[in-house]
Amino acid sequence: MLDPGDLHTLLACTDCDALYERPALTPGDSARCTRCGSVLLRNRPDPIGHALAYSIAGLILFVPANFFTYFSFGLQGRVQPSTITGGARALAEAGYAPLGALIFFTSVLAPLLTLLLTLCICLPLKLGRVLPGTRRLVIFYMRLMPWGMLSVYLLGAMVAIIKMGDYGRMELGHGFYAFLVLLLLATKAQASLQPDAIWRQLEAAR
Amino acid sequence: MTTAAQLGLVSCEGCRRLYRVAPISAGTQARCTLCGCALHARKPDSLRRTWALLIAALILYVPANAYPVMTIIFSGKGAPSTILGGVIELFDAGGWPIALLILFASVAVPLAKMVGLAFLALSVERRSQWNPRKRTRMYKIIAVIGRWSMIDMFMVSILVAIVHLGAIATVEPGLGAMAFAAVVVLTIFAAESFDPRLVWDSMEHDQ
Repeated sequence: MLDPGDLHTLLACTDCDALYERPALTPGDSARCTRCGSVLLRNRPDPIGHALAYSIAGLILFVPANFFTYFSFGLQGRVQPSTITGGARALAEAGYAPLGALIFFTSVLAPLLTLLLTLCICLPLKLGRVLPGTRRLVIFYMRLMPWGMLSVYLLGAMVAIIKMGDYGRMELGHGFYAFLVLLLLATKAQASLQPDAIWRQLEAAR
Repeated sequence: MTTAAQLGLVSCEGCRRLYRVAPISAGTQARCTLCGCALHARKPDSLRRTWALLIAALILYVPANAYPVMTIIFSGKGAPSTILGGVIELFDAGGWPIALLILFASVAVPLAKMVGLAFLALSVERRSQWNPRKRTRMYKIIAVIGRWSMIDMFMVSILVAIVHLGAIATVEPGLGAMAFAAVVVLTIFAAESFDPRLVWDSMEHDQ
């Protein structure tokens, strides 16, 4: 295969392969494919700066969200508190290690790695440097994206509260409120970081 | 409308850089010079992989629904609960909004996902000419909603951790949870393997 050269002004739709001249978008704009209707390209205002800010804030909130009590269950005078990671551990202890691992990966590890990767990708770029391993990190980031499931976890927690409400007393801990903020920050970080913006910057730096 | 493929171009799956197709020697793999991803005109073995993962998910969907996802034990008395049983219980306990949510996430989403992907794969195999825009949207929706089936699994993990009061009350995970989680993971991979551009390819060839 030949190196593109003159092809860098073109862009193919990922969903139907239609070919376009790369549209010049003002920040905040997005372009749709006229053939299949999918979003062709999005241009966020200052994607790297925003993603960097949200990821740093998210990493700070990650600590209380994961180490403070998420909620506790009280029954007949006894109270059992738990953190997010407690669920995965309890499943592993009950002989359900693969399920525990999946829960841990989707609710703790993938969101943490996503935030860390965002930081490691954006911080050097913001400082005007291109580190040699950045492209690997971006690919890893893109692979990881579908596996962070904080928002789904929140709904799972809601259902757990309702389900146990009849049996005992469910109480929300500080970890739960930290988790809500973490969810918001992680969502914003992910929405800000457009891989395309990074690739273009890495391309220009070569 | 011109496509990249018609001009002999390949779009990199990682960074969307375009490359001209040129012959390469057997046993080698062309890679993107920017991001390092392997270059393919379409996702490799897309339909075969989608079918394989889909069939595996369908098989596991049976134990996922037949076995309990958890057993709630109160003062020695155990109440095993399956996915559908859990929905019915929620109708009684929390009213219909939350029950509908679970009915949607745990029953409708996995089913819609498997049936939808099978429909898309079949439509490509049969070179269907039916509305490709709608089929593309269908694919996008399938790819997005899959994760929501994990609600029940997170709920089970939380209950197993906090309802842990020895003889008074415990919640034990069930085999159904393991099978259900496997269904979710397999369908996420199945959706990722499917290439929506195939839908549009079969439109071109028949025109």
